[in-house]
Amino acid sequence: MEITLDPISRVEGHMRVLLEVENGIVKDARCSSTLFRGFEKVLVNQEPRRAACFTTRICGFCPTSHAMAGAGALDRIYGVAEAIPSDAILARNIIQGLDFISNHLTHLYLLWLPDLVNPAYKDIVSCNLWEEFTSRFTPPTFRIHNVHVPMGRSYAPALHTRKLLQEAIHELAEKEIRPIAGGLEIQPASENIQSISRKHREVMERLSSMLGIAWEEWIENTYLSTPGSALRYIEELCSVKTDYSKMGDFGLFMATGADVLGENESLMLDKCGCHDSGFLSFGCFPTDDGMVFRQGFMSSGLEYSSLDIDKITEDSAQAFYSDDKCHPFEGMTEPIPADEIAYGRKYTWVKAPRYNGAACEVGSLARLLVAGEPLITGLADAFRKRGFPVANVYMRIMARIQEMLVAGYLLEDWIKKLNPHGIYKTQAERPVFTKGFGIWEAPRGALGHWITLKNGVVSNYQIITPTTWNASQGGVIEESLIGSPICAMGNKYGIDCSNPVTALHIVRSFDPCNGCAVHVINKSEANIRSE
Amino acid sequence: MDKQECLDAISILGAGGFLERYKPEIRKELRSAESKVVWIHGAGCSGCTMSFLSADQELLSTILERECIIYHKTLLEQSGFFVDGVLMRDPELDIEYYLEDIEKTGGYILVVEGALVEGPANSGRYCLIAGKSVRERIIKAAARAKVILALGTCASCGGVPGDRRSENVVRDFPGVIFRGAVERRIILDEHGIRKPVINLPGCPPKPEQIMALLALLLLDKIRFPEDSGLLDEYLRLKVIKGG
Repeated sequence: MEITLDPISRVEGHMRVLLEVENGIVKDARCSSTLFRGFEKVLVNQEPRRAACFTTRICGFCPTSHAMAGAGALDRIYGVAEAIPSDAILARNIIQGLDFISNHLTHLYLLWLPDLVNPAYKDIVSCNLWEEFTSRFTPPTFRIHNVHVPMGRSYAPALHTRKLLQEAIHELAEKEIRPIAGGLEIQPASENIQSISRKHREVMERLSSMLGIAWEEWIENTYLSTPGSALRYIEELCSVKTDYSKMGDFGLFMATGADVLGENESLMLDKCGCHDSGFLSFGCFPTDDGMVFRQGFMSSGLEYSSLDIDKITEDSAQAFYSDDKCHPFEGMTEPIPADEIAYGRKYTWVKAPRYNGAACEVGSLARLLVAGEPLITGLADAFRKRGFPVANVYMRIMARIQEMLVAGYLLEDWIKKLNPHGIYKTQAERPVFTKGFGIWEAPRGALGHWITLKNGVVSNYQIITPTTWNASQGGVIEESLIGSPICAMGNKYGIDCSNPVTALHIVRSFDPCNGCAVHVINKSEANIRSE
Repeated sequence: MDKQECLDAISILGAGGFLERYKPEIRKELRSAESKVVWIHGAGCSGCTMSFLSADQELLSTILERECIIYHKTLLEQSGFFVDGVLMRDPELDIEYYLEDIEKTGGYILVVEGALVEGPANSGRYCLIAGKSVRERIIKAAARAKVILALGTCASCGGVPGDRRSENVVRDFPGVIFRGAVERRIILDEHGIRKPVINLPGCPPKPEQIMALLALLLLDKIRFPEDSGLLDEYLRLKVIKGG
């Protein structure tokens, strides 16, 4: 049986997934991004700063990340990469931290948590739990059995929190965040810093109430603890049988999401969305003592190795581009003619990046595993000891929740260090190199911009985005779908092909961003890996 | 709060000032508003949606709670489901069937976010949704709309994918009415659809501009064809020009 999910709602952009299903289990999966905009073609022949600026229009969800990765590439081209003032690095970290929280909140409340009000759960979870899910997470304009379900009470507050975070980010930019070589566009004044600080405090209060625990207490027992203690802490929290109505939103998810953890009923989200690929992170938050979240590769067996950027390759054989072998960071790809754009051997506009020849997962989970964050590492160890894969839907959502709280905690200290009299920019007059790259961790994972100039204008602008990694052919989304049951709780309550809710959980757990993922590489004359 | 009062307030106070000053009235009227919004994405980045979500939160909540937006792919619970190529026909699960249902009723405000997609070679296959081109989808939805809001620069005139400096074939990514800033090519006319179109360019348009314009439309403060004189030569509302 063939199930096509097209369009998949509650993801950025246009996405389609084809599932070959036998007895309720996915036998094959094909993930397609279905919009082509020719973005890199828009960027060639532009002045490099203008081109980098255009990249913020790749995606409306994460323009900030593109601005920051573009700025990194410009820093190198303008020869100021080693001269960025520490105040500017601090400010960029603050922008990234705020952006993580903003994007993860958007993903959770607008895109992922509404999955839990899928009618499939109505009669298989307890009435109390169903009542909590619907009263908190229902998206706008929803009906079940023709009865209107009011919008969840957590929805509007989450939107409001997102707005606060966006406003805080804009205190560090002019009208909008733009990629600026050498640092920041503006000098934050005292009132900007106070405003960021005020908004940060309010956001943290809101996060505490979403969690159901004061964030300071949570951080003390997880991020500032050891993996073993962090695991015991969360196991204790989940083993208490509490009145669901008294839990925070994150607490409710934590306690009822995983089969392995706790005494409450479970949605078995830890048993779906599994794969055996590794995890990749470019690392983020540089400080004088190195990166707070280190960069590197983590195998599925949780063995760490350092990042070697030359191991990244990209393949387009199964994408809607001409078949020319695509060499790493060069080669050419042109869209195939109209009459050949059909779902066959080629089925998507996303190409397939590989690390050391293999697909990897990128995003919060990858970032925190690579960084050895105690809570996520503790949970990962627990899954492994019990013989279950580390990569699963529950872990992905937990990693986003944890990353919001950790970023919030780190921000507290950073915002205090913001200096109204600091130096936020190094003069960057004109390009001194013809090649430059910027790598950055976007909320959804590893993001890289590679720029090549010729005669002062862009001859090649190459971007590899998080969703290119996750949603590519043979990538981790497809791998996670294959072998998975399609219906709720591992098909325990029967198979309904018209509502493959688990398949949707899996796809959305990666927070795919299709606008970001699709772009075409142009002819380039040189390998742009090294400067 | 009649039409002239609203337009005067916007021209004097700006879109944000108007919303601030008239918020209680707008919320009250929204609660009984009958108009609905169908929001369709073409070749865009969802940035206009994100801008809209940053608008005044009380007005936004009212709009969402009152179910003024009946179709929006980023917000709705449902997805498109086909089993062995056949569309599942449950409007509570299936966004495609749900949209068909809405189109039968008609009379909605159609918001187009992102450019229309004509390429490659006029096939529209650069953007397929549920197997059909997004151009086809927008034309179909436009046929039963009462008014069309081309939201953002992409929907207004092609925007980023249709940038004239790009190496893209610019004609592959036109706006609803304009291709580039000057060439007026009425795709809808070619399909025999004559509907009023309002452009709100901007990348993205400011949250308060989107909110004010949507409020005017949802509350039936401006109607067409009688209010066509309120638009300038680029089909922008003279008091909310975007940008």
